Amino acid sequence: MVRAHPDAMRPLGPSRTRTSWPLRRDGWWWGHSRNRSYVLFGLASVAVLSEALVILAGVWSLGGGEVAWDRYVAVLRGPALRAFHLAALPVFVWYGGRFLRLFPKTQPPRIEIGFLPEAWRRRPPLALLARVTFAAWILGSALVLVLLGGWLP
Amino acid sequence: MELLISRFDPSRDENLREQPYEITERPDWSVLDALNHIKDDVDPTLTFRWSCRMEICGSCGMMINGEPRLACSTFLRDLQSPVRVAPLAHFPVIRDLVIEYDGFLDRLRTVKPWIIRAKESAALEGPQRQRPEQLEAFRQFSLCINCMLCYAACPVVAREPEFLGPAAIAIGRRYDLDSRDEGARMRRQDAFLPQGGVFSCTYANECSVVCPKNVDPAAAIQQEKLASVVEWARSLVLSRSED
Repeated sequence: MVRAHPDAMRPLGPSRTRTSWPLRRDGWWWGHSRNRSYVLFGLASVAVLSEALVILAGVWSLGGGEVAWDRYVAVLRGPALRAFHLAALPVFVWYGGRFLRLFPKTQPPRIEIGFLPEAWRRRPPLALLARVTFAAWILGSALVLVLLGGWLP
Repeated sequence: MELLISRFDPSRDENLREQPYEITERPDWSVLDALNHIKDDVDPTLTFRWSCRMEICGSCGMMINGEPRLACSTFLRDLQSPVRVAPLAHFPVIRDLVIEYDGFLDRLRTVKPWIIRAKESAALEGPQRQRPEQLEAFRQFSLCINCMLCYAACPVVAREPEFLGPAAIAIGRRYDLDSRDEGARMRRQDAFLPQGGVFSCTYANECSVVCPKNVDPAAAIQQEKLASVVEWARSLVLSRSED
């Protein structure tokens, strides 16, 4: 039996009787398969943050002039960042997929904007919303790939 | 079939202990039926809450084989012996399977779970009408039976004593979405924004997985995060424009 925080769900006032130390649910953080994906999602955010820092460094180097930019590109082409990006790509795909899978139900079920017709105020069905967001993600990624690959005529 | 039931006597126990009970398994029995059989015929000192026996009252929430479940709708035929029965996780225990739920009621009170009107109208003015689509906006969150299984499933509740928790936020959200309510812009946001409010939630989604009524408290919390930010930004802009 693992203990939770001693004050977990404690009443604001004094208890009417002596109570036991609250227990923690067994299996956190690794015991259930559902929890494992949750913990991995949290860990994956470290990779996302690292990538954000890499991109930020790129923006910073742009401000530093051509020499700074060339140095940044050289570092990007180095083995360390190539290995990082190779490892991070599947992590980002999985992270984005899980994020977008959970995203639709976080949207308000109804938007009260006066000039919108009634049908537009309602949230579309969750499955449809999920399909649209996934399609937008794939199309956006493809567009970035085409732009960065220099495949535009 | 063997049931390993957690026992706690506040007059002599420091911690919970497990006591084994042997019962003759009947396929139509729920865990609650087995507990009632033990209390009636084996050990009358066993203490637990129950009332409706049909997943409505939310009284018989407990940990069954480590999962928060209602004892009335968990059947012995679906479980392997031994079955471990313990009080809901993350709550102080008063006795055996009975938890102290005043902490939940305190948190629930914080979100003002009632309709707040800017100006109270007299009953003579007639009913405050609502269209079916307006009801549909919050109906899902109004199905909560306060069974507190979501609190036993939430990893944040186990670590952050200030956290309002899934059910309280879902019920607050239910009133925010109610077309008759004007509380969101007045006072309910004060409970959602500080430490322990909606931003303590890390979206483990376990509350929605264990909810017996499919209320989906995780969705309510994420929606409330967005609504709180929009409301905060709106108030910031409005206060600046007033300056």
